[in-house]
Amino acid sequence: MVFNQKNDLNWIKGNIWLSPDAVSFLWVVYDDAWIIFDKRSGCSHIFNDFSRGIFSYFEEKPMGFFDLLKAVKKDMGKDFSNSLEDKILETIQVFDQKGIVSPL
Amino acid sequence: MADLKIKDLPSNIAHRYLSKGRFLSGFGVNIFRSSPDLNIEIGPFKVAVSIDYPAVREEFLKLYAPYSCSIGEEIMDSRLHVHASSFLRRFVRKNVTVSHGYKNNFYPLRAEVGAVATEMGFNWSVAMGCRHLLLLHAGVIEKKGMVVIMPGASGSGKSTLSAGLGFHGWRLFSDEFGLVDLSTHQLLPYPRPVSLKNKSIEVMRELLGSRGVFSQNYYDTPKGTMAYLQPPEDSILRHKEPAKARKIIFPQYIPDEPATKIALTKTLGFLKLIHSSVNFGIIGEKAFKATEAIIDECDIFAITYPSMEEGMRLVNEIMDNDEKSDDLLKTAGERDE
Repeated sequence: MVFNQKNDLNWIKGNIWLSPDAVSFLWVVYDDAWIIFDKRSGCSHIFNDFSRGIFSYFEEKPMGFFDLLKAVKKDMGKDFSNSLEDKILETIQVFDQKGIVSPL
Repeated sequence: MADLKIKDLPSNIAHRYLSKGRFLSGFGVNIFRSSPDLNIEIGPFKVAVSIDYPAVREEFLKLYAPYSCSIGEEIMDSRLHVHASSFLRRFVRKNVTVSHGYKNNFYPLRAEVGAVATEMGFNWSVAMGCRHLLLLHAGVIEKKGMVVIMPGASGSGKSTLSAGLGFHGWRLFSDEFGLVDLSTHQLLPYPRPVSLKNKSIEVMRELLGSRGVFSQNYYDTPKGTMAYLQPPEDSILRHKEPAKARKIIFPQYIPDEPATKIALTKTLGFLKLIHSSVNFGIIGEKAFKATEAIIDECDIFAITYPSMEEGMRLVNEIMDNDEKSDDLLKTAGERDE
């Protein structure tokens, strides 16, 4: 299925996102990145600190985009800028494409 | 029991074992099966080989002369049969294909390049059948118990560079496959004949002169002109001695450009290493852990080099620096004591 960008992002905003059980993943941490191995797909992905941080929210509990945004704003306080909103949305989109999170 | 080598077999006996009298093998029927299997053992693999064409057998016996072998039915990892694609094609417009017990999508080649088909068949049977070792598409060499893994795509020069180093102070594990034990994370030797293509054939002939045992040149193969080089005898004899990886070097031959060497991050090294693996996705978790263990132990570099001499110099330089830093650590340790 091919989404156009706008609809795809709306779909991301409208769903609750869930990460599978933590045992599905193996992690390796290096100075500049995190490498995650998904046992279900056999694929490896690289996370930077930002995407690792976003993913950690999904590890705690299933979350919708707006709840996530609220949580990130609360944790970052003054450091949060509006440009991060798009970045978070795109990050969830990539998580979804990689199968690392899925809609509830 | 004494270790039997291919070269210990009288020529007529070796031909008989290798041919197996499979006169009608093109029909999938093995009649006249008068002799037992000839099994060749290289590193962790034992393969039963049979070759229908006498000229291909002759080349095989020359290249594999120092290798260990056994006669008779045993537990084999695979069975390699080099034969014509049909009964008719043994006699008319002769061709050659390879059967190895896995799904056969081997494209038949001209019978004159049967040795190329045999070597490709070996590679194919390892790539398709190996699920108990992490398989890296890499040249692998060893010195003083420390392994250097040199992953690279076809044409990167890894085979030629590995072979050059193998004849100049290093032990050649393989020019094609890095085999990683999933439990110990050690590299296992697999010293098959080195596959040389196009310009690298002349480079190696010049470098080794009469020291090298070469096959004839095979022209117009799917990879251009090809030839095979027997690995140094010491590398073949020590095919059961694994060692730990210490360096990963991604080589790239670039003519007419200066030699370069850069250090890579562990992250980049990790990703490049799994991309060079043939069976990472199939093995899964154990392969990931093995890769992690290797990356932890290794320094990682990318080099470009315009000539064999420069490539060998860079690899030696990387290893020498490592030995020097080890010496410094030892000296510091002794001082502390």
